[in-house]
This record gives sequence, C-alpha cells and structure tokens, in this order.
Amino acid sequence: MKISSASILLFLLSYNALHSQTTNSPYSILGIGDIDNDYYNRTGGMANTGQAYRSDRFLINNNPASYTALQQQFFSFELGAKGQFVNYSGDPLKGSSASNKDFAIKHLSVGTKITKWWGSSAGIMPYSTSNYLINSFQNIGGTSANVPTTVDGSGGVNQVYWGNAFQPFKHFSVGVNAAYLFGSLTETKDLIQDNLATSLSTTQQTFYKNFYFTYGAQYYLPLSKKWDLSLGGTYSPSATLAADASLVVTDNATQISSTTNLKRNVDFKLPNATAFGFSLTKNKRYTLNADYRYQAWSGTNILQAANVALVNSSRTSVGFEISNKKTYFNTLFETSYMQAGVYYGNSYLQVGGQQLKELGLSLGYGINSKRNPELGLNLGLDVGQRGTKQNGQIKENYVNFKVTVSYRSLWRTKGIRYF
Amino acid sequence: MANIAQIFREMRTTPSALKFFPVIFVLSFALAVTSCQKTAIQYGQQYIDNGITNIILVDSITPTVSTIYKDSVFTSQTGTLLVGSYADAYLGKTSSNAYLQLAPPTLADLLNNAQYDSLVLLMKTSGSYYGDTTLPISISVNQLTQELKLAENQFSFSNIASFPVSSTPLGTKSFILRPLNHDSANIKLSDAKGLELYNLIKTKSDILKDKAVFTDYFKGLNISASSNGNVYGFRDSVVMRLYYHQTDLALQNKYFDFAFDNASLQFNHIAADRSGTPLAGLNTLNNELPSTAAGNTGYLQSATGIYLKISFPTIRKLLERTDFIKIIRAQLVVRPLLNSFNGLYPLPPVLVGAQTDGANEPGASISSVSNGSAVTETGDLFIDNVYGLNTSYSYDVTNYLQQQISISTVNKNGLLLIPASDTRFSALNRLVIGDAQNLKNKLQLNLYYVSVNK
Repeated sequence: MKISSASILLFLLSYNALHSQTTNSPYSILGIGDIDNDYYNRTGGMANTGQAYRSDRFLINNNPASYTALQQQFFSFELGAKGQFVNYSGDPLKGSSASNKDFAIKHLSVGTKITKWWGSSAGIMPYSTSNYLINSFQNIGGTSANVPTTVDGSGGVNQVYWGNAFQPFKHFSVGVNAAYLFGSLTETKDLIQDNLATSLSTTQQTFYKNFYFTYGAQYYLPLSKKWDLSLGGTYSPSATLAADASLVVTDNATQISSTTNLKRNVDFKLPNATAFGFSLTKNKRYTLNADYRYQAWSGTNILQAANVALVNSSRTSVGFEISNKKTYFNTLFETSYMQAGVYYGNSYLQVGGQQLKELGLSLGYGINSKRNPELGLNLGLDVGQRGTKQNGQIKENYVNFKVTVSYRSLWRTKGIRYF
Repeated sequence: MANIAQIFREMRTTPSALKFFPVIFVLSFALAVTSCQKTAIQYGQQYIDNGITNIILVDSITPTVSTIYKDSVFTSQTGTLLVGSYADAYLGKTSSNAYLQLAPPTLADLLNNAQYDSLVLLMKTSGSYYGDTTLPISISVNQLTQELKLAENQFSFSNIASFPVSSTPLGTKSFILRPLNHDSANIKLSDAKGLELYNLIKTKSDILKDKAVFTDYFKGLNISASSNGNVYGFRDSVVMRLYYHQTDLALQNKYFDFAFDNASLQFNHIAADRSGTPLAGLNTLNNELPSTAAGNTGYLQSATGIYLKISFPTIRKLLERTDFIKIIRAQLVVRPLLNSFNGLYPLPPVLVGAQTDGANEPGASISSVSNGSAVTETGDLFIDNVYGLNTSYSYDVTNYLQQQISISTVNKNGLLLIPASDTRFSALNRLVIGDAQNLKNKLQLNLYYVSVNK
C-alpha cells in the first residue's frame, strides 16, 4: 500500500502547487491566460518534442497512443515541476524592465500497461495559467481625474486527463486522451481614492469547464538492425469552455455588490489542434525527434482588448537524445541520458499587428538510479524568448528549470503474471 | 519477463525507495514557498476592462433651496446683548434691543462722610457686529416698569417678546465702537436714580437684602439704540456701578456693583420689517419661499427667524440607474451672492447643516468622519478675496445622502444651513445664496457614486 499513500500525498501536494504561482505574465490577462506548451515529462529536455516518441518506462503524454509502449507489470508515477525566471522588457514598460521568478509543481501522472495491447495513463496538469499584477489608472466618470488602480490576476485552467492507448496491430497504436478542463480565473481590481475615502475592490471570478479530447496514433517499426522509426500525430477537435462568472465589489472591505451568473460571461473556445512528428533511433541509443504543432485559434475568441487578436499558432521543434544503456541479465537497462532541443513558434497572440514569436533551446539530463531502480530523475533547462521590443510588444526572456521525478513499482495484483 | 522482476529485486538495496519522496517534496515546497512576490508592472493597461466598476461624478441631482419663515425664535440666555438697528438691502429694516435683570450689591458699612458720586452702566463689546461700524451708535438705557417673568409653561423668551419700559431713559450715550478691540461702552446714568440707590445702600434697606425684593423694586433694564446703521453684540457681564467716596485717613474712591443676574431671563427683542423685500409675503401660514419664486436665491438670518433650507428631492433618481451601487462621496457647495457681503456685513463664519423635516426645526447637525472620529460639518467657509466668485461654504453630505436615499416615503427632509447654536440667535449675519439654477452663484452637489456594470 506504499503506492496508494504516496499517490494521495502526491496528488494533494501537486494540486495545491498548481495554484501557487507568482509569475507575472503580462499577456496572461488575455483570454484564459497563457496556454501551456509544456508536457512536463521526459521530453522536456528535447523542447517537448515527442509526437512519435515512445518509452517503455516514462509516461509520454504528448501523444496518448504512446502508452502501449510501457513495460507490462509496472505501475508508474511521475511528478513534474517547473521553476521559471522571466525578464520583461520593451517600450510598453516605459524604459524599465521587470523580473519574476516562480517554482511550482505542474504535473502529476500515473500510468500502467494493463494488457499487452492496452496502456493507460491519467494525470493532472495545467492547461493555462493566468498571473499578472498591473498598475494602471482609471478615469473618474464625469471628470478628468484619474485614479490609480492595481489589477491582480491569478488562476488558470487545469486538466485532469485519462489517456488510453491500444495496439490493434503490430507496429501501430491509437490513443485517446479525455481531458476534463476546469478552473477559474480571478481578477481583482483595486481602485483606491484617498480623497474620496474609498477603496474599491472588484473581484471577478470566472469558472470554466468542459471536456477536450485528443486523438492520437503512432506507427513504429525497425527499419533495419540499426535503425528504428516512429511516426505519430494527434488531433484535438475544437471545444468550448463554458464560462460562469461571479462578481463581488467591496468598498473599504465591506461588500457592496455581489452578482452571480454575470451577463458578461464569455465562453472560451478551444481550437482545432493538430500535431505530428517523427522519431528516428539509431542503435537504440541515438534518437532524433521532430514535431510540428498547429492550433487554429483564429476566429475562436474575440479578445476585449484593442490591438490584440488570436491567430493560428504553430510550433516546430527538434530534439535529440543520447541514451546510455547497460545490460543486466541480458536486459537493457537505461542508466542515464542526455537531451537537447530547439523550438520555434508563432504563438496564438497577435499584438500590434504582429504575431508573438517564441524560440528557444532546451537541454536535458536524466538518470535512472541503479541502486533504486524504481527511481528516475529528469532535469531540464529551457532558455528562450517570446515577443520582440517592436510593435508595442513586450519581450520576455526566460529560463525554465524543470524537474521530473519518476517512480515505478511492480504491479502486484493477481491478474498480472510475474513469472 | 521473469528477468525483469528478478533484476528489480536484485538491484533493490534499500527496503523502500519511498524514503526518497519526502525529501523531494520538502525540497520542492521549500522552493515553491520561497519564490518571491509578484511585482507590479506598468503594462497591460489597454487590456484592463475598466467597464465593470467605476466611480462616477454626477451633478444632475439638483438640490432645491427655500427660505423658511419662523414667526419667532428663542433669543434668551445667549450670553450676548444684541443692540442696534440697520437697514438690510435684502431683508428690510432690522433692530434689536436687550432686556436684562440686575442683582443687588453686597452691602458694606459706609463712613459718615461718605458721598455719592455717580451711577454708570459698564458694558463690553463681544466682538460681534453687523453694519457700518464707522457710524456712531446711540445707546439708550431704560428701566423696566415690569419685572421679566416667563409665563407658565414658558421656558425661554423669544425675539418677539417685550416688556414695558420707563419712557425716560436712565441714560443715553453715542459712541463709535471698535468691536474687534472689545471696546467698552460706559454710560452714565441718572443721578436721581443713583442717589435713590445710594440711600438704600446707606440705610442698608431690606430692599437690597433679598434678590426677589430688589427685582420687584428695580425690575430690570432695557438697552436699545436710537441710531440706525449698525448692531453690536455686548457681553452679558453687564454691571451697573455706583461710585462714592469717603475719607478715613485718606480719601477712598469706592463703588457698589449691581451685577448682571439671572441669565435665563436675559433676552434680545429682535424685530424685522420685511416690507418691500422678496420675503414680504412670508407669514405663519405661508412660511416657505422656494428659491424659484425669489429670483433663484435663498436667505438666511436665523436670529430673525429666516432659515435657509436645502433639500434633495431627486436623490432617489440615482436608484433608477442600473449601475448604481452606492454613494461614496457627496459634496455640497453653497455660494453666497456676489456683493451680498463685505467687511461690514460679514458672512456667518460657521454654518452647520442641521437636519430637518417638514417642521423645519433644526435637528442634529451633519458630520463627517475624519481620522476615525465624527466631526461636525461647519461649512469650511472659503472667502475668495481676489475675484469673489469662489467664495463658498462646502459640506460633506455623504452620510446624510446615504441615509436619505434609503428613505422611500415621500418626505420634506432637508438641511437647514444655520449658525451653530452659540450664535444662532444672537448674531444678525445674513446669507443670500444662489440656487442650482442661479447662473452666477450656483449651488452645486458633487456626488460620486460607485457604478458596477454587471
């Protein structure tokens, strides 16, 4: 019962941690916040490249079809966390630059191979996060006076998912990931006017929820004795997150207005999304991955802000991995691996008539304990930037530090054969 | 598959790898907790939705102004003797005279050679005045022929009360007084009356041994002015002093004091003749004059029973706004008519906002909270000595209007702008204001409310 107590602990901790971010991301005021491109798994060191990647030990949630690759008899846990350091610069910041840092547990997943042809994994991770603190001014209606305001946003949309992969034929798997997206964005605007002896605080909380499905397929075969190839792709049909907003206004901490089911509720539409990639492996040691992701954001949602629009996003990434394996009792055991990746993308945001571009590189290192073969540790580093200083955009330079801890244990149920 | 399980067991060296997890969690959380606070950035203003909560200033809630007529006001025990008369450009002719009672002196033995010298009334100006102080005031002191007495169930004298006086004054004198220097006004009184009193003293008459008996004998004094042009306030510490001299080893100049007595019976008789003014039509039955019927002006002279009332009959119109949440600040700005005041006819320095209803009696004064404690609103009179246009009283009527907006019944509530109770009925300082339609001296209500667009 070690497993269940550990999993409960993990779940509670990670669920809390998903909400405890302090990063100030200016664009996360738009829509449902910054949409997360990360999978928080082993592919982190390869710029999250893994549409076609298959692992017998690690849970590759990039493509639900990958779970058939898991080794039978094991039950896996993974915990992914990310620390971030971001520096913002650009004209809109009025000459100054701002920095933020943050560390949070992002992803928790469990997975197992149930039968020879059926692998399954479930987990929780963020879909989007919203975090900003903006100083601004607001006009007093009927006057030319402006009052300072502070707008504090937090929250995000999380996903609880359950992915299943099936292998109907040799070399081919299909998978479906059923994600339930839920969460709330909270925006608190403080409007303080000493002359009027008033301190207004307006808190709008918007709950979103709906299912979002991702279908995946992978085709994999050895090309020769040396070479293995895998092709993979996923497709997510558009879905709409139903919004339910409430509004509370306080004056000097006394509630003066409270509304539920706000009329200004705006549902948020998730796009049609496709991704595909390949994975080429030589000598079971060197793997080259490449992915292309495309999300049809254009026209899905109208953002209230001028000068900003949602546009179709794309992301190309390439990752490379060197795996060190040793043979124990005629079985290959991976002891460590090194990874590197690069990515380039056009994000779903267009600011000042220009799409925000993102690019960066990743490095990864993983070690699987020989003394404690249940444990694996993956460390990743991203160095990247988003946006430019032109067109009234903000340039974000960031460094992400990612940790994934994996633990697996023998699946000791009587339905599974050990020997 | 057997191999894997075997390997697994072989490689395991610690009883439970779960030991590692607490370490990792603690580490993760330590990092998570120590991550720093959000720092605010000066960006994203254009993305902020300012449409939800706003503070909005409205000046469309128009207060109404009316002049209230009171046939009488209580003018006793104010501490001030108001004496004089003047012609008011707005309110007609106004005059005031004072009634008071005196106490007998403390008796003492006189030497046989003692001789009466004089009888003098000593008064001191209180500093208050209204009218042209460059003109002389001619004061006349008359003895009452009837004792000051309240009727049964009467507790104070009103401005219209009066008592008969002797037709021959005890003394008269004309002065030019400088009230700001607290000039004294000493009036020599009749020697006949002086000797009469001196003999009572000398003989230690029983009349002087008991206040009631003395009052029955002497009655009291009325102090009036026969001149026209100004009104002065005098302190009620009036003394009628009888001087005498006697020779013991040396010459002694001595006196006996008939001091001011029974403050509750001291009152000022204040009369106003409104004929020819906009207020001429006001009487007990027709006791309210809307500003709209008086050239968009309102009047105040509380000591003559003219009150100024400001009402907010349209305040509940705010509730018809769908976005209205609450009043957060309301400021009333009251502007005296240009040239309706000057150094000789000063504005009332302090005007409280007394809450009232249809009965138009001044109730509790409105207050605002400052540094956690309630402070009575006194108008914060600002005198614009440069252009005169910005001279104004201003009031924080936030709390008042927050209360009034919640009253759903039709009412005649309002605020009486009126001097604080210490000078309410003992100073003639007049105020003439414009109403909200007055173009030059506009009454303004600046009301801020919280608007929430749901």
